[in-house]
Amino acid sequence: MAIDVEQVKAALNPEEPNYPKAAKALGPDALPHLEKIIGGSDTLLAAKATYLAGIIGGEKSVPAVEKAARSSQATIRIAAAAAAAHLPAEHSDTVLAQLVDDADAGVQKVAVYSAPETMSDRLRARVNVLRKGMKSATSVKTKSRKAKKQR
Amino acid sequence: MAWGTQRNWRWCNKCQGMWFGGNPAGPCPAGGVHTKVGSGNYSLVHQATSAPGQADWRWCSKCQGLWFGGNPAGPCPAGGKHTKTGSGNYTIAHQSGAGQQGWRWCSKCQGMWFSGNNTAGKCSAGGGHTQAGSGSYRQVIVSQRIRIHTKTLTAPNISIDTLMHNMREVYATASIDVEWASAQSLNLPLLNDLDVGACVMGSTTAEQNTLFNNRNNVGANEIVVYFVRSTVPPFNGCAAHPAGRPGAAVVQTATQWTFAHEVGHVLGLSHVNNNDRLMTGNGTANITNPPPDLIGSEATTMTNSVLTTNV
Repeated sequence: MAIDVEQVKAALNPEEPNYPKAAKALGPDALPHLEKIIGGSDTLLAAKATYLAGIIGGEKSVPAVEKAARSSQATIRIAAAAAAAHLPAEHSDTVLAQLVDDADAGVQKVAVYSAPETMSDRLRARVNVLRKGMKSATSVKTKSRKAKKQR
Repeated sequence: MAWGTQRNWRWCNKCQGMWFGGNPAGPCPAGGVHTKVGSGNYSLVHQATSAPGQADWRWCSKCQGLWFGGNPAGPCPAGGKHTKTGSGNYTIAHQSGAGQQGWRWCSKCQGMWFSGNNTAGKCSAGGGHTQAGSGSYRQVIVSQRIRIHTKTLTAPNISIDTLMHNMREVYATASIDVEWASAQSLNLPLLNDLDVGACVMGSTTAEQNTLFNNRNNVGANEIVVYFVRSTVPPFNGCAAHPAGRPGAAVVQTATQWTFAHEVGHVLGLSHVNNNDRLMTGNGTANITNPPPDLIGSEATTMTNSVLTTNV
């Protein structure tokens, strides 16, 4: 059965969306709607749409997350960084390589923490440098991709 | 800036006026002194010109009455005119907002009186009070209170004054007074986009643990709401908090009801499938009949919370 945009918005509107449940219920058919929401004016809904696209996962999710990674809104790029952890490895690497050098400290932080255990040498080198800098700036602990997946 | 509330304001059944019951009763225009018999415990917003409503209401130290200081002082039952000496600045919900309706300004004595009974009471200017020219004022009756501290990493798009006012409006229906105990800015850029994990009560991330350690000037059973730019994953807010550090995070772009909704979770409320209610699990952006409702069983849950105190 086709998914309509109202069903997608209904899944994103709660204060605390249940992303795994929404991904399972809506599936890849929601991705065109999510991509439109990512380009819309409601930045909170766009961030939620980005993260849901990542949780849906697979190759079909990549365009939506990449679009979010290019957003002018930092909170949408943050969601893209978090979502990237759930993309296929080569796409995750590409998105995160862009976001770890974002001008916004929050985007950079989430990109660094979202970096998977398996990544390109270039990304690993950059992430290691940034993690050291962040450790000295805060007591916040880094977390593995495995922990992220437990969400 | 935080604004406080002051309770123990009373309705006098003799003159219909409002007076401060925290002091010995002052002279009543109906004779003798004011009485609190039959009155609820009213809570007024105090020292808060930024709060929604009409400011410049004053306490008269001579008669204990509440009067409007934006006009020349009216006659006082203690003799002469009302005085604002020693008074704070009270802001009263006007035309909209929380509380019991039917309260009026009397243009003869400048006092606040209740028009919901079949009497105009007694006015210190002679005869009964008048409601000519008055707007509709509301007064909140409370039996419990919670204390909220706000700590801001990123200011919300909807002002905290408005969010606090909205929460006060909804919580008043459960007779709970909301005190805004303090406001503080925090410069913690690496916690401004807060990792909240799955946002499940009883389970918190390292970032939540670090942020919720910021409880300067906060009592043990008082709630802190942290305003952050965003959460990871993206939520409107998250009420999961470390044990013994009750609080919630609310994001910059949250709705006008998210703040009250998240504090509702802190007080023990769960989601419901009803868009007329504060605790809707369908998103407070979809609330259909604002202000949203709290039902009796929810009020009981909130009252039973250790964070709620009798007044």
